[in-house]
Amino acid sequence: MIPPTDPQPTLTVIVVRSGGFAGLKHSWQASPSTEDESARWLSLLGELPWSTQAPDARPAAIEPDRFVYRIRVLLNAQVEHEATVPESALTGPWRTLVESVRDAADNPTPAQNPGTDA
Amino acid sequence: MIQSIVPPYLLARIAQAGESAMPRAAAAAERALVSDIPLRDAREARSASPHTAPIRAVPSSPTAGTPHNLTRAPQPHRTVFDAKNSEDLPGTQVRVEGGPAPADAAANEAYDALGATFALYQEAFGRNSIDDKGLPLLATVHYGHDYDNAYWNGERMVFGDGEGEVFGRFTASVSVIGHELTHGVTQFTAGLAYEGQSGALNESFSDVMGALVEQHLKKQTAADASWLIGEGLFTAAVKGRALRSMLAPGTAYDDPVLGRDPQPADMAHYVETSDDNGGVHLNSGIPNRAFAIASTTLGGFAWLSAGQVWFDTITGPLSPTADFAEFAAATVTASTKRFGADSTETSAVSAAWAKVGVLRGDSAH
Repeated sequence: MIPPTDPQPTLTVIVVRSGGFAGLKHSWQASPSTEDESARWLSLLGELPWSTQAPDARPAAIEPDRFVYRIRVLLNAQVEHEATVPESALTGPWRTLVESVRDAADNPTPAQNPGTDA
Repeated sequence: MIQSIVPPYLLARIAQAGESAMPRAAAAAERALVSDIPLRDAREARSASPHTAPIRAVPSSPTAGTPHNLTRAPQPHRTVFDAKNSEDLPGTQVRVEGGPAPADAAANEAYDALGATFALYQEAFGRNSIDDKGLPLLATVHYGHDYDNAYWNGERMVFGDGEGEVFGRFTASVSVIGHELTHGVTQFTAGLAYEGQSGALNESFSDVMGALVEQHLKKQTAADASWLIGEGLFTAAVKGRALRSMLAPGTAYDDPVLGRDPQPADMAHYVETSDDNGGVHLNSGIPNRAFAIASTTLGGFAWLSAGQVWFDTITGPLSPTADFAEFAAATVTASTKRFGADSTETSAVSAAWAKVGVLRGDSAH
């Protein structure tokens, strides 16, 4: 659990979006910039069902070419939570979190492509 | 441009009989002959190529000899909806089969490309829509806000407008629409699991048929084709020609912001990753290239040679969890059944899989 009483935890959320028709990978990384924002993010993170990882997701085989989101939460540089969420399950607090991170990231930073063919 | 199931020679005889003898049949036969021209052009081009091979027989109707019982070839049943930048499906109906065209490029591009995809499957492979039972073709355009994607949801195709910086609207490329509909064909046939190698094969078969829809529409031979997927989707700000290159995976784009096209061209560069359902959009480059190599080796219209083999493979016996090696072996079997073990087609297919490192070189015979 994330300790909400920690005086100044360094909270970072990384969202990596892969898949889609184009197969292009994007990542967004952000940290809350104010105490209020930090409190809101911590509350939001506490709502998410990390252990079940979006059980309402439709099978990927039914919806080819949709995006896949990998979400990692780092608290003081340690991975606190990690989940893979298909686009079809990116609803409610999952979606709020991803949109918050995207909005907070000034500029999307494209992740390095794995295994780029030389 | 719908292929009549009545053989052309018979249509010609009926048409020549003239209006006085059989007026309705003559008119129908003339219409069918006109609509059949592209396919016959294709066959002529194929037979003119150095690699001659048996051409798939067009199924003939048992009633073909009875002019008044001329059977009409299957027709598409298209409906296009507009989500009006929401994520609510299906959206508002904006175009129906045979109805007037709205003042919306995306809706009309989707409608036309649905028709082009239906035409490829019907004319080249004798398949009646994606389920071979005349399934209506449904598409929704203007999905979401700045939505950078197109997908198949099991029932319909869904197209975003792009955000305008990297991507424009996803209906701009016929290959994209052929790709999405083909996910439906795979769903109704091999049912390839969308994960790992079977997922990459699922993706690759969609690229193969997406490319063939475009080539069939433009009447391009394998030598003339671009072998690009999603050409025209990137905005002018992006340094790239398309999203993928089937003939040269890894070369479609090289952009300061997007990076370089990450697709591997052979098994030596296969990408192990947990992203993208195990890299289904990356490793599809390997079977994509095998198809493009086989097609360009054989020459002529690709849907008559390697395309027919791939179609036979996806509609034949194949495990839903097939890996590249199983799929490659199945294409060789399908080619052998269709064209013969010693045919140029079977040799080219085997050699192409060897070239990308999926089959051993000494099995390319």
